[in-house]
Amino acid sequence: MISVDIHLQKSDFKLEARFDISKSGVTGVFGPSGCGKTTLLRVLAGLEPESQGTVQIGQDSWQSATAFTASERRRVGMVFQEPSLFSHLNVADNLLYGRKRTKINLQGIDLESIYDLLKLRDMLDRDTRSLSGGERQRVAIGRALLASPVMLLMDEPMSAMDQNARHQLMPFLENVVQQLEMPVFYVSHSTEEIARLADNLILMDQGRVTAYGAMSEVLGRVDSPLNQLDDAFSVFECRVQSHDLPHLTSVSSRGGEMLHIPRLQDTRQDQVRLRIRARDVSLCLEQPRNTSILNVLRGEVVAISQLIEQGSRTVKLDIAGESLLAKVSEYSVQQLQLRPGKSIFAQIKSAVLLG
Amino acid sequence: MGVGVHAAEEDVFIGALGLDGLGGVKAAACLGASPLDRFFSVVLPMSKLGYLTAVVLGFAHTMGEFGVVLMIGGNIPGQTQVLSIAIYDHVEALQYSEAHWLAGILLLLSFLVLLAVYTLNRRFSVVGSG
Repeated sequence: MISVDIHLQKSDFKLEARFDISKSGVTGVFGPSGCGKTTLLRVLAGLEPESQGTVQIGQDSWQSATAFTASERRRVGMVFQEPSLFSHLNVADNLLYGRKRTKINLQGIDLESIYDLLKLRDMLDRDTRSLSGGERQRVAIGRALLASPVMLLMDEPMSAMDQNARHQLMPFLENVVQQLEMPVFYVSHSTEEIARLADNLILMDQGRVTAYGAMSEVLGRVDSPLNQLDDAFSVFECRVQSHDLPHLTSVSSRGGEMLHIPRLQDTRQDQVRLRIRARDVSLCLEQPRNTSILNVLRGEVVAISQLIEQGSRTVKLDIAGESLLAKVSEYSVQQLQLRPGKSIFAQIKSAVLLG
Repeated sequence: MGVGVHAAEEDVFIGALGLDGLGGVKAAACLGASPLDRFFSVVLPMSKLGYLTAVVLGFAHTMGEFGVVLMIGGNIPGQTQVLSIAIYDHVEALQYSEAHWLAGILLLLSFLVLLAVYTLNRRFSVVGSG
C-alpha cells in the first residue's frame, strides 16, 4: 500500500493530497492543467522538501513529521515532461548514469533486456542532441529504469510530442508497465492515455485529490468528479473471438457479451481494452431493431447521478457484471422512468480501441 | 529536515551559472547522485563554456587594467608592467611612434578577445537550447 498525506503551501498554490493506493500496477493521476499533478509527483520523488506530512511506501517511510529521505536515497525512477538528458554525455553514458550509482546487489533490472525493450541498441553512440523527441524520452525512461528503481514516476512523458511520436512511443510505454513489476505513477491530462495504461486512478482538482482507488471503481461512481468534466468513460477488457464479419472483429467482454469493433490490424492480438465514453452511450427500453448501431447490450440500471450537469445525468449500468456509464438527458430519465433495477438496452455509438 | 543540500536548493546556484541544466540536476538526484556528485558530474561539465567565457573575460579585464597596476603593482618593466601603462610611459616620454604601435596591438588583442567571447557565447546558447 502507498499512503500519502501531504500538505504543501507555495506562494500561489496549495496542494492537499491524501490517498491510499495499491502498490501493484499503474496508477493514473488525472486532472486539468495546474491542478497539482506534477507537484504531487515531485513530492513522491522527494523534490519538494517544503512539503509537510507523510509518505509511506509499503514498509518504508519516505517522509514523516521527523524524517525526510532525500531524492537520491529514495531510488525512484523519474521521467519528466522534458527528457532532461545530460547534454555533455552520449546516449550510453546517459543510460548508465544512474546504474553506476546503484549498488551491484540492487541492480535487479537487466541491462540487455532494457536495451531490447526500448530498442536503444542502435543509438548508444549518438549525441543526445541528435535524437528526436520520442527517442529522447525512450532514453530517459531507459535511464530511469536502469537504476533499478523501486517505483517509476512519469510526468506527462508524451505532452511535448506530436501525435505521430505519441503513437510510436505508446507501445514502448505499454511494454514497460506490463513487463516490470513495480508501482508506476503516470500523470496525464489525456483520458486516452490513462484508460490505456492505468489500473488505479487518482483524480485531482485545484490542488486536492477528489477521488482515488481501483480504476473501475473510480470510473464507476456516477457522481465522480470526472463526470463534471464531461470526460466520464468506462473501460471494457475484452477477449478477441473472431474476424469473420467484413471489416469487423468480434470481441467478448468478461461477462460474455459480444461486441463488434473495427477490424484489428494485428490479428494475433487476443486481448483488447476498449474505452467507451459515457456520452457515446444511449438507452432504449426495448431491443432496437434495424439500427445502424452495431453494439447493443442488454443490462440493468444500477445508479443514477444526483447531479444534473448541463441537463444530463450519468447513469451506471450493469452489463453482465461489468459497469458501463451512459450520459442521458434529465428529460429522458423522466420519460423512460429510469431507476435502479430497470432493464435496459444500451446502444454504444463508438468504442475506442486502446490496444 | 537535516539532510544537507537539497536538490531544490541548488536552483538559485544553477540559475546564477546561466545553466539550462535544472532538469538535469533533478534527474541526477533521482538517479542516486549526492549533491557533491551532482555538482561534479552534471553542473560543472554542463557549465564548462560558461567558465571558459569567464576566464577569457577575466584576461581581457586584466589587460586593460591601469590604476591598480600603476599604484600597487609597481610598474616594473618586464615584470609587472602592462600594455596600457607602457603606452602611458611612452606618451610621457614623447615617444609617440612606439605608443602608436602598442595602441594598435592593444586594439587587435581586444578585438580577438571579444571575438572569442562572442563565439563561445553563441556555442553556449546552442548547447543550452538543445
